[in-house]
Amino acid sequence: MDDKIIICFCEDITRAEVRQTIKNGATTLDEIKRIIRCGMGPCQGKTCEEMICREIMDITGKKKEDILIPTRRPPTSSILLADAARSDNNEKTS
Amino acid sequence: MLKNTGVPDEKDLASVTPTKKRLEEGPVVMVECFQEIPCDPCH
Amino acid sequence: MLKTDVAIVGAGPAGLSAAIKAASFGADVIILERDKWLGGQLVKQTHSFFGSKNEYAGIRGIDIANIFADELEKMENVQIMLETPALGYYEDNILTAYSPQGKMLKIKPNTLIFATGAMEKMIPFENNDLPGIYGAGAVQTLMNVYGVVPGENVLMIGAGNIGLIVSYQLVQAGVDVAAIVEALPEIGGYWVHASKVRRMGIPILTNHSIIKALGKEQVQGAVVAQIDEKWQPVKETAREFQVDTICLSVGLSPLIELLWQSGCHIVYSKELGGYVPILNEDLETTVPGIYVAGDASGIEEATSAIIEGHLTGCAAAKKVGYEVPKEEFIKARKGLESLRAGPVSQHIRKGLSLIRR
Repeated sequence: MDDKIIICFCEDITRAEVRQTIKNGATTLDEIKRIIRCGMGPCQGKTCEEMICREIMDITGKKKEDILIPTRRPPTSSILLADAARSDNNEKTS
Repeated sequence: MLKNTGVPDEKDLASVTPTKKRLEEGPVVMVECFQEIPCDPCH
Repeated sequence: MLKTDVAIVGAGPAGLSAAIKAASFGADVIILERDKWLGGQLVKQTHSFFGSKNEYAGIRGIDIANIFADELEKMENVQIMLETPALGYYEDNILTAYSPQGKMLKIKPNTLIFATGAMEKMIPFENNDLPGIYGAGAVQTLMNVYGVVPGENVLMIGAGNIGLIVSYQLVQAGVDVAAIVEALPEIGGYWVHASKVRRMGIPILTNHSIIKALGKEQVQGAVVAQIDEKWQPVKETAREFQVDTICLSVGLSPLIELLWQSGCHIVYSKELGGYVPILNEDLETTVPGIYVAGDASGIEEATSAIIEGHLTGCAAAKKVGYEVPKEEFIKARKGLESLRAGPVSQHIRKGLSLIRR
């Protein structure tokens, strides 16, 4: 059943995969993300993070406040690489 | 129970029904307002 | 690089009321909004608001958005940037944004108000990725903004205000709502909304949960069962609903990525919907000059967002040196206090008591 429940919609990761990864020893959001990519898609973990936390809590007995949140880096919205590379977007800030 | 089903039962209705004395005095408006919510336009 | 007294991220009820207040005291304001129009979630709220007469009770959400937009149009010191999402906040106090022309904008504001709102939560159940499963807010946008109905028969998950109101609006749009399913023992939304959908013949099943969605290429049904105190399905209570759409209204989370980047102190509050910033009585974060208003500081509703907007607009204008009468602050704080005084706001009071400094 767990292989039919999607936790990370962007990267198509199932609950079975998340739970197996936690059982294999990855018990932080960052570790799980690095192994199975959940939270690395367009929504950047906004949809799945809470559901992954619940699985970590269920398997390890950790409390919510003990689960470290991954660093939120810019950009917070998707942008075109072409725009990022445009010369007029590279003015110096100082 | 209203809070479980959305339908007021006798107990819920009793909480908003005017007193017997007031009913005997004549017709009275009964407002369907079972819950205190942040809302003041009718005050 | 753009410079301004106040930059506001988000043009929903909180951001717009903040802009109007700050600008009314003389501050230059830039509003960044990722959408094509002003109003945030107000634009899809076709129902009349509850709340206080002072904050537009009795008026439809979409009309409140228009009132704000008209007011802002008259203000020369407000610059509105639509279709311009904020991208990042950096340690040299620079906010970046992405213009519709693909230009990376850099803004250096003296004060900053984050009014970024919230996003819908998701829950795990079998086949939860089938086409036909939507967030309730998304369905409300589809119907009320774009005039598109999501399907013909809907199962609503969640009996909070959003679940109840969207169910009502689905029926208004000619869509059948098979039932409203709520995992908690009690209806979370206002009972007056619950009674209204009950009178339309929609059952509300408390202590019930969705077990799985049915269908191969798209939703063709759903299995719902009663659940016990441990949220486990009770044997032999499973039943099937023939629906083509499942609508999830299972809560909202504050959207605060940019706040994390600012380095302000953030804590977890179950009552307020997730991670929220620690704020003082002016709704200023632990980083001086950065304020938060509306759902981004904890999930409530539009009326409190409007008043929080007023408060942060006043505080930001004062911070950059404009004269703001004390009464303005007192009025806003009193407004919030009375809004949160009743029994339905108990969880809000509990959540706020933990995050106010």
